[in-house]
Amino acid sequence: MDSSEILYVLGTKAQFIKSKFILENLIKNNFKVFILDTGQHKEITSSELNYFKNNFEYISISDNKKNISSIFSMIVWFSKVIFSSNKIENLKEAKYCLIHGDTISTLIGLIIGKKNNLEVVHIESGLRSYNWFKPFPEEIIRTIVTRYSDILSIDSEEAANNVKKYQSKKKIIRLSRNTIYDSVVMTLNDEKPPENDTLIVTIHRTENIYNKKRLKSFVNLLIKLKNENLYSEIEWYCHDITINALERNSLTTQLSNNGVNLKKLILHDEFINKIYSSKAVITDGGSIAEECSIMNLRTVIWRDV
Amino acid sequence: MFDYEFKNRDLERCLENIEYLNNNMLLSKYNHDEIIYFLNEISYSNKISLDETSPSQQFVEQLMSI
Repeated sequence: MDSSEILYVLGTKAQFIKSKFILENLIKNNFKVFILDTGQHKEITSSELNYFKNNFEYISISDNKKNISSIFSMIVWFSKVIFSSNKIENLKEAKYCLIHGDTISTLIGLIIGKKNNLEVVHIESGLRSYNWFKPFPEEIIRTIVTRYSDILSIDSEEAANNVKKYQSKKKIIRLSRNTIYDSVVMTLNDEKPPENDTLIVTIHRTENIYNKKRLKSFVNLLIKLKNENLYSEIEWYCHDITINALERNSLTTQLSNNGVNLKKLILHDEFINKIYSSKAVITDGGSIAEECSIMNLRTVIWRDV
Repeated sequence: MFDYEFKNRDLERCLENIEYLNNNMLLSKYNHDEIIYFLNEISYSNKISLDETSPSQQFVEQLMSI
């Protein structure tokens, strides 16, 4: 490799978390890293960035100060970002643009990489459900990004099979497992905290939050669990999108009256140690499910696929 | 009462890496009874393997060798 500059496009909390130790390794190997923040989860990611103590060049391409937390704000934000020039002036020697996963920010990263004539490296490539609408829009984004990236980084046999058709045209990086493993083991406290009697909850997917019937069903489930006295505490860590939906459906009072604590999101390190000492977790997030799996926690995935 | 053998591909798609699947996880399909039954069962103790090669390090090494 003959270039020492890398452009890394990130936007969501999960992308920052899973990329943390890739970034650390790039910096250790004397790469000049430009982190381009799409601003999708602006409030959360700015605190995650403190970990690197400014050992990178930070580029922000959107002026939003808050997280993108509604479909309307997503459309406005995406349009603004895509129709701006996205020509990164400071990049002189960069060859690669790294992008991650299957979010709107991944798609933006692909477009920016191509606009700047960089080779696009797609991390966590090759995941497919082969159903365009599950998950939506992730499945569509995965397909586009895998098709147009130049280098694919895969971390499972299933992904390897899914990218077989590109093997002759693209370079493939094969990892033994997902980089989320590093994020979990590097952030756990040295000694395992004593297990407490808490159920940790986090739900934020569109199909669960915007479906009123399903959201109410979930609230009823938590109340049932509380009444069964399985847990002394139920703590629900809420994304903005979740708290908005709960308020819109007048469910917050019902939850607090029944002893379910609604909490704001906390830093990833803190959250990992929190779930590690909990009795069980309910989530609809792929990354959190995977983190729970690494820690072998009792986990319910609030999804049907 | 319920079968927690992970033979179907649905749960695999909830996780980025199917090797992480274990008997401590349930793809609920929004079924309250199944969730409550599952959470009432005795769980396995937490165990985490810390002797793996870092995938982030693997990524950077392979990128540098391209």
